[in-house]
Amino acid sequence: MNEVQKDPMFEVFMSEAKEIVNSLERIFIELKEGNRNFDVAVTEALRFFHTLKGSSAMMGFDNISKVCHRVEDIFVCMRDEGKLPINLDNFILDMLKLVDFLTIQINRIENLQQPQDAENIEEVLEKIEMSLAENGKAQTESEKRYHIRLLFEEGWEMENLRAFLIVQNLKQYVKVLEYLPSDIEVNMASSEKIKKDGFFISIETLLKKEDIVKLFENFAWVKDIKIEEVSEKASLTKEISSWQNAVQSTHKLINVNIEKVDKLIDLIGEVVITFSMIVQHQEIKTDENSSFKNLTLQMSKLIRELQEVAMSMRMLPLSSTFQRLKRTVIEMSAKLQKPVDVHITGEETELDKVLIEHLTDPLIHIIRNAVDHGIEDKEERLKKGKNITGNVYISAKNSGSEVVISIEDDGRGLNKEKILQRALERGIINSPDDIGEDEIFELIFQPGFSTKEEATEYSGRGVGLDIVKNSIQKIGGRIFVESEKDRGTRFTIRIPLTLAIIDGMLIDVDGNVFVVPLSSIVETFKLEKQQIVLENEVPFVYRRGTCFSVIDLNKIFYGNDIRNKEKTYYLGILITNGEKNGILLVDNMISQQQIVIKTLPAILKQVRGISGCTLLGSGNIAFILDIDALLER
Amino acid sequence: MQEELLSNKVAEFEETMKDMYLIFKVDDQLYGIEIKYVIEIIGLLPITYVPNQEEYVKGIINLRGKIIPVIDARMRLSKPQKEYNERTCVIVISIDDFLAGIIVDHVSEVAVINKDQISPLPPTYEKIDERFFRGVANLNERLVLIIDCETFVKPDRINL
Repeated sequence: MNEVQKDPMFEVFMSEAKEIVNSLERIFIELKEGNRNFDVAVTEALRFFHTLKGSSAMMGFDNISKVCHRVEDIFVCMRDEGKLPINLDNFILDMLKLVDFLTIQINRIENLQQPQDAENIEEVLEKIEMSLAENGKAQTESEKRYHIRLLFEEGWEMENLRAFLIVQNLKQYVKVLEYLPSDIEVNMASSEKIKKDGFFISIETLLKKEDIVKLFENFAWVKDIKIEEVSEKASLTKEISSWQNAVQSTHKLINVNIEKVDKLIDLIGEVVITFSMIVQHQEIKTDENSSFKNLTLQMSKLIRELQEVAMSMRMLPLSSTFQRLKRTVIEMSAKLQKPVDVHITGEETELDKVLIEHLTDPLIHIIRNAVDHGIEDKEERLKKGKNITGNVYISAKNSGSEVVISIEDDGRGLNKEKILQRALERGIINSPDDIGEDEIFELIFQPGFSTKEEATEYSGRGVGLDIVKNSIQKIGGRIFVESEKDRGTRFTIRIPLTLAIIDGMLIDVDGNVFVVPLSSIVETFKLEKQQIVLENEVPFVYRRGTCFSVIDLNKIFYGNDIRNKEKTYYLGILITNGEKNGILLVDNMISQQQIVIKTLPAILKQVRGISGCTLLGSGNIAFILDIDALLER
Repeated sequence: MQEELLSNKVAEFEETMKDMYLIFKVDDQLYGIEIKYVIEIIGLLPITYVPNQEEYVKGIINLRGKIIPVIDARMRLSKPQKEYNERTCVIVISIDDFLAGIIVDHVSEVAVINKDQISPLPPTYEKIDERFFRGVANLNERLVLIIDCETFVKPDRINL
C-alpha cells in the first residue's frame, strides 16, 4: 500500500469525488430525459462543481479544480444571467464528456497515476462556453408552477386529515392543481404513505417561494418543506419518484473498506461453523437439559441473522450500472442519429458488489449491439410501420436465489438465415440439419461469430458475444437469447445473488464430501448396474429418450471406477449448465444446505472439476464441483 | 525519547529474529527454518486429500476457518514414509501472504545461528535436492540443514 492511500483525508476526498461525478452524471441524464427541471439542474450541478473544486484544490489536484472552476463560471452565467445553451442536447452530451474526463482523472489519482492532459477537455469547455446564447431568458410575469413536498412531524397521527386541512387552507391563496396521495379524505391508509414519503402538492401561483413557505408556517405539524419551481408540463408523479430517489440516497452511509467487510464475513463464517461444532458435540448432544437446548436454538437464530446482515453489506443496487447503460444509449442514439428511448425497471435490485463489477462490461456490450445492430434506422422503421423512436428495455428482478437481468430491444431481430450461413462458413456446424430450430440463436455465443459485415465505432471490434458469455459464466451466471423477426431481441441473464453463498447438495464420493450447486441439478435417481452402458470404456446412460454421458466422480478424483464396487444400485444426478447435460455417478447423497464458498489455496495445482471448497458444520472440508468443467470433459 | 527507545527495541528484536531458526527433526536429521516465516506450530489436524497434486502435498486442513495446504517434509525430502504419531506436528508458515503447513516428525528447539556458522552444501550429496537448502550449519557439533522456505513449499511448477 502506498502512503498516500492510507491518508484518511485522501480516502474521504476519493469517496466524495466519486459520489459527485455520479450525481452529476445522473443530473445530466435526467435533464436529457426531461425528468428534471433545467433551472434546478443548473443549481444542483453548480453546487457539485463548486464542492469538487474546493476539495480538489485543497488536496492539490489543480488539474481537476481548474476545470471545475471554468465550469462553475459557465453555470453561474446560466443561473444568474439567464443565459441558455443554444442546443440543449449538445450541451448535455458535452457535459457528459466533461464528467467522463473528471471520472478518469479521479480514477487516475486513485491508482496513483499521472493526471491526463487537460487539452482534450479544453476543446469541450470552449464549445460549451461558446454555445451559451447571448440573449437572456425572457422574464415573464406569468404564474409559475411549483411542486412541494411536506414532511410531517412524527407522532401527530391522522396525517391524511392534516394534509387535507393544508390543502383546504392553501386553496384560499393559490391554485392547487394536484396532490398526492390524492385519496386523503377517504383512505385512512394514505396516512401511512404520508408518514413514509411525505405529502406532495402541485400549485400554480404568482407568489414567490418565500411567500409560499410562509403559508405553511401556520401548521405546527409540518416539519420540512421542499419547494421546486417546475416547467409547465412537469408531472407531479415523475417529480415524486425523483425526490424519492433523493430521499433514498440520503440514507446515512459510511464508507467501509471492502477488506474489512470480507474479514467480517469470514469471521462470521467461522462463528457459524464453531457453533455447529458446539451443538454437535457429544457431551452437549447427550445432555437432556432443555434450557440449554433453547439457548442454542436462540443462538443459532441470532447467528443466521448476523450472517444475513453481513452478506447484505456487500450488496449494492444495480442503479449506477443501469445509469451507465442508459448513458451509452443516449450517446449512441445521438451519434448514429437513431432516436431511442430507454425504459428501466428494477434498478433498485441488489447484487454483490464484486458481481456488479464483472457485469457492467458485458451489459454495455449487449446494449451496444441492441442499438447498433438491433434497432433499425428511421427510414426502415417507418417502412415497417413502426414508431420512428426505437425502444430499449432494461430490467432487473429477484427470482429466488438469482437476479434476472434482461435487455430487450424492439428492433429487427436476429436473422436466422444469416446466422446459419455464417456458422457454416466458419465451420461451427457442418450442415443446417445439425442444429435444432431453437438452438440457432445460441450460435451467436460461439467464438469468432459476428453477423455484422463491417466494424462500426460501437461493435465488430473483435469482442464478441462469446466474451460476454464467458464473463457471465465466470461469475456463475447464465445468458439466454430470444428473438423474433422485426419484433426485437431479448437477452436474459441469470446471476446468483452472491458469489459467496450457494445452495448446495452434499454428496459422498468414496467417503469424501463434495458439493453440487443446487442450481445445476435437474433430478436425482437410482441407477441399476445394467443401465450404465459401456462402449469402449465410455459409460453412458439412456434415460427418457435421451442419451447422457456419465461422469464417474470416483474415477475422476480418486482413480477407482465406482462400477467395481459391490453395489446393488448407483445414485445418478442429472446436471446441466443450460447447454450441456450429464449424469454424475455418486456413492451417496447426504443433505442439502447453504454453503459458504472458499477458494482453494493458490499454491495448489488447479483441479479440473473443482471450483472451490467449503467448511462443513463438522469442521471438515468439502469440495465444490465445477459443473461447467465436468461437462466439458 | 521514549519513541526512539521503542524503535530501537523493535530494530533490536528484528535483528535478533534474523538469526533465529526453528529446528525440527525428520528421521533424526535436523533442519532449520528461519523463524520469520513461522506463524505457529500445531498438532496434526484432519487432512482432506486434494486430487491431482504432487505426492508430497498431503491435502488441505481447516485451521480455524482458513483453508491451508499441508506438505509432508518427509516426502518432499524423498525419505521413506512413516506413520504419523503423537509427536508429529505441523509448522504453519507464511510466505508472501499465503499460508502453508509443513508436517515434520517433531519440533525440537529455537536456536540462534549466525551467518558465519552457515556453510554451503558440499556438491557430493547426490540424492539431495540442492534447491531446498541454503546451507549447513554447525550447531553444537550437530549438523542442521537450513531450508529455503520458498522453494521447499512452493510447487516446482504451477500449471494454471
